[in-house]
Amino acid sequence: MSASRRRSAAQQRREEKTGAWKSTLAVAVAIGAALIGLTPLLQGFGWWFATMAMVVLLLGVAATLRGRGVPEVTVVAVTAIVWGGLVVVLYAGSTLWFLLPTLSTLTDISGDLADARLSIAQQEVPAIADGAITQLIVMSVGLIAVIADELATGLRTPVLSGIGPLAVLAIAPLVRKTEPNVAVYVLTAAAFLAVIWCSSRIGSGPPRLKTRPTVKGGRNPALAFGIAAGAVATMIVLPAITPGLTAESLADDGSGNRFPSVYATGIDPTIQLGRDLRRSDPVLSLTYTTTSTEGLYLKMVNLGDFSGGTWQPELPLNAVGYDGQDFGTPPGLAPDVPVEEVATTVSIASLRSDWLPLPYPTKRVDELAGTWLLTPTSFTVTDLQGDTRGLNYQVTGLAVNPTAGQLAEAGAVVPDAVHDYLALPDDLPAVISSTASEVASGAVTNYDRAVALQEYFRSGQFRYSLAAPVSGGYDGDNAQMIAAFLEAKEGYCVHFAAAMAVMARTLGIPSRIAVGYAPGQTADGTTEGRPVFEVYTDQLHAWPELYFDGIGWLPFEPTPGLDITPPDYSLPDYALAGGAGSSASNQSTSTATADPNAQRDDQQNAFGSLTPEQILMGQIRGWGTFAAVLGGIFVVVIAPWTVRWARRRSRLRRLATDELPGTLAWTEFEDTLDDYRVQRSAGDTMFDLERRLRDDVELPEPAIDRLRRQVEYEQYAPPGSADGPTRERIRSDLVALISALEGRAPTRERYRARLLPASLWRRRRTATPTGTLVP
Amino acid sequence: MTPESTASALTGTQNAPASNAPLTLAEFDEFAGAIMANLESVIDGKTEAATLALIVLVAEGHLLVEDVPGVGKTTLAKALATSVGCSVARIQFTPDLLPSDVTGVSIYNQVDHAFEFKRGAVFANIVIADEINRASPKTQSALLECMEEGQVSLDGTTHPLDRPFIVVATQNPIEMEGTYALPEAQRDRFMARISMGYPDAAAELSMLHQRELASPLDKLTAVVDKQQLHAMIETARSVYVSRAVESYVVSIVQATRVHPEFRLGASPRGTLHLVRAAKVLAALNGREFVVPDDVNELVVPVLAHRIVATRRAASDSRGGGSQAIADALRAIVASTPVPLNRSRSV
Repeated sequence: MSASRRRSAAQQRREEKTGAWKSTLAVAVAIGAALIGLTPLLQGFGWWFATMAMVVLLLGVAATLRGRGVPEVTVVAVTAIVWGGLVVVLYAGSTLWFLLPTLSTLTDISGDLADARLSIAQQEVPAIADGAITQLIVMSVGLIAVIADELATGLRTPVLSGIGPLAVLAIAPLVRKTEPNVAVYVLTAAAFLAVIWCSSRIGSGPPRLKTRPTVKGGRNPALAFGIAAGAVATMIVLPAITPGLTAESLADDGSGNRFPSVYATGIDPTIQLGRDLRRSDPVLSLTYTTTSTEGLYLKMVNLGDFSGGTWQPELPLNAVGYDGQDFGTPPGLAPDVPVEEVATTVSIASLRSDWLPLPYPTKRVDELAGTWLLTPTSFTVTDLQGDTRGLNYQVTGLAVNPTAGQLAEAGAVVPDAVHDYLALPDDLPAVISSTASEVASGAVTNYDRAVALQEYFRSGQFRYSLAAPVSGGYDGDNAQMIAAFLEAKEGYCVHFAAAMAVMARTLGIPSRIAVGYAPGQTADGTTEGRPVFEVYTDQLHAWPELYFDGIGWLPFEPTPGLDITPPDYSLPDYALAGGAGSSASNQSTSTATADPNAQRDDQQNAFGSLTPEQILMGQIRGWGTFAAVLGGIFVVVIAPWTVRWARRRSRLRRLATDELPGTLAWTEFEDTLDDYRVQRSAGDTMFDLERRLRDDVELPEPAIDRLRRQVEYEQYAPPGSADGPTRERIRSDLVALISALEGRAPTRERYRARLLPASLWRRRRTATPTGTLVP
Repeated sequence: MTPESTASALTGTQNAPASNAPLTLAEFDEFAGAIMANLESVIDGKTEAATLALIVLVAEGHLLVEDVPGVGKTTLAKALATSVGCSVARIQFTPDLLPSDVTGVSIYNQVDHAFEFKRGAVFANIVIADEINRASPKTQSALLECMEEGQVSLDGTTHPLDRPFIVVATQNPIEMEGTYALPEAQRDRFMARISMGYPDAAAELSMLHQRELASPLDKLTAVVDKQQLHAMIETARSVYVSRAVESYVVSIVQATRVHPEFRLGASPRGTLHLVRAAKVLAALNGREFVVPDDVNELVVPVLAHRIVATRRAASDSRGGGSQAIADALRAIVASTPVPLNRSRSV
């Protein structure tokens, strides 16, 4: 006799209460542990405490109600109402007397949800847990906790309750591409096992619809542990085998034309950069020190192809593995142009990108961890991991210091190698080329024309505005939008860069758009006597680079109003002043700006640089992932049904050959009873069960009677006694009983029994009652 | 057994076939039905008590009938004795009853100049020990020794008792003054204890009509002779008990020994009696093997009187000690898993 059997009913009730509390507590711990997994995504810990406060409050309500013996349905209802009330209070400034939600409350909630969605979509990880995000997490995790607790404590299906922590835990690997945090996983798994343990020890079996003594010894902690272990393994393996499954491929940032950068590694960094840029509260992207006297543009990728009427990023097509070798001579740089080496040390903070920020032109990169690919033609470095965070590397760059004479002579011819950078679409609006020729009408050399173009944008006619292109409907960098921009004369860096680059092409100057970081500003401290430059997420920038044969690619700065000083050589008086030997270089373009907020920019229309085909592909991949996730959920949902179905099928098949066909049929019958939550006790004899089934459930009497007698014969009769009914008879009786059980159940119960067959996680009666013997 | 031979059994008691060959289940059922009909004709609406009496008879146990006066204890015992064509003795236990009145006495025969054994009342197939708790412990012991040994030892001579030997003792639990309640060790020798209980209104009414003219006992005749009873006993003994059921019985009995509400659990003799009684019940149910249901049905009548409840349990229960014990036994049965082997090898 096990100890539990001997306990009085009062003791059992007490223990059940304690067990329920423990189970609920374990659920809270599991959720809390899983929540820690979100730390790589969100800054600070305020959101964690807020969420746990919600979880503890909700589960406390549920546990208290259970402790008072309130029916489970009421527990669920009250907890849901509390949850709903808290949501309203959290979200609502516009409730009636703080309690009753009004119509505007609902609007507020949906508005806040949209905000949260946007905030999540727009921020780079780790995101700032702003109000909208925190509220969303508090709300959803609160709901998850309630559901998990109901599954574990209320319905005593602890294995299913793992969906809760799993859901929370899955967020981080889905959003991030990095390795899962093993410690958090182990912690959550341990808490989850505790949930299973506590839930399976609550005492009696699942609460029954009728108030009869519940099943005793009907739980199987070992089986539950087995299933749980499988679930944990899946939790760990799933993110590993589905690297493409990221939030970026799932979510949409509201702009409608996102490209899943996971699939498209190396194609368009501007997605992540765009999100960086739009942060309301900029985060430090990287810092660098340099031997150059001024700050450096750090370029990540070029948009060089405009032949389709939209600026396209240059793909790392002929990339080679980078192993510290020299990049080679920058394209177009003649040997007689004076250069000096500039050493720069870059420390990346929060930037996550497929592209390495480098000053142009770079000669060599040292101490670079990870696997990287160099595209020799564009001098860009990319990798497949997309995680630049925490990198430290030394860049040896070149400061190119052309003389005024060299500048004047440069760019007279366009070599074949850069001919692609002159490509223009056929349907280029006339206003672009006419404006360009008008602006450059006074210039003699290509260099002069370039200077005139920059001067045109910086002369005061154009105004910097993040909002105007959006409201004016020309937020993009395709040809039509550039034309509109030239009309409106309001825009931000992408518009200026795109317009100047296109106009340069109409004038026969090869051009491209560089995407990267503006030089940033000096921090208070210094390293080895040199100033430390800090670059924030909102200093993302785009600028045109123009090619002059003999010197190479030179950056220009047409965007006004950002406190970025244009390169000396690009100013109209540089040639006049003689230029040579000045500190001008095509690397150092800017002095540090004092106010980082002044550099606010937006990269949004870089998304417009995707062709419809690419967008379509992205959407297809996004939908594919969505379908894969749906499929995964479907598989998880359908798995118990499948296992149960297979088990029944196998038993029906074995009926023909099994030496104890009646017992086999009876086992299947009992399992079906469990599925339909028909009361059953291990202490019941088969006849007890038959009697009850006849009275309560109204099963076909002859069938169950025949089956029961057959089992009795098999079990208790002397070996070799006369055979009972034929196997066909047994089979047909079993089938009749099962269909009678299914037939009398309401549709909802039938589906529940099929999708969540309780027999899968309930221990069957043991062959010998060893468990009840006391030594 | 044919109807003719049944008729002969009804008329003459001694000319039945001598063989003790086991009966078929149909024959067993026929005899059992006849005895049951007899019993039920004298005590209305007490099928359970009657069945238990029959089970104890066929299982060669001893029966303790315990209840308040006037509910038919003695009637049942007499009806049982009469139904079987065996010798019947009735001892009314009184405080002055001597052991020798029960067992017998050696008397000096002055003719033969030798001691001669005068058999006591116990030398009968069925002994009705009425109000057994009224006799002195010494006399009780004499009877209980016979029950256990199946023999009387006197002056160095052993006198075996005729088989079957069944003691049906009655006891009044209410009127306890000046009585000697049976100690646990002696209660243990009874296979089962039954309580008659009051008849329900309908049964009491029909009883009134039946007994208006004569006692129904007078009309009773033997329906089974000694040989046939032997055959029934043999049949019941040959009922098969599987290992699974045996271990089921053992776990139930063992559970009584660790139950917190019991001061004393059931004895190994209780285990033995439970299995023997279950065999008879299985045969009565037309089965040649025992199923757990047979055991469950008999747990309370076979085990309850062997168990001593704790004072606390006895005082907590509304029905007193025996009610508490019966409840606890039923709880044990309900919580002991019924054996079910999923494969032959286990």
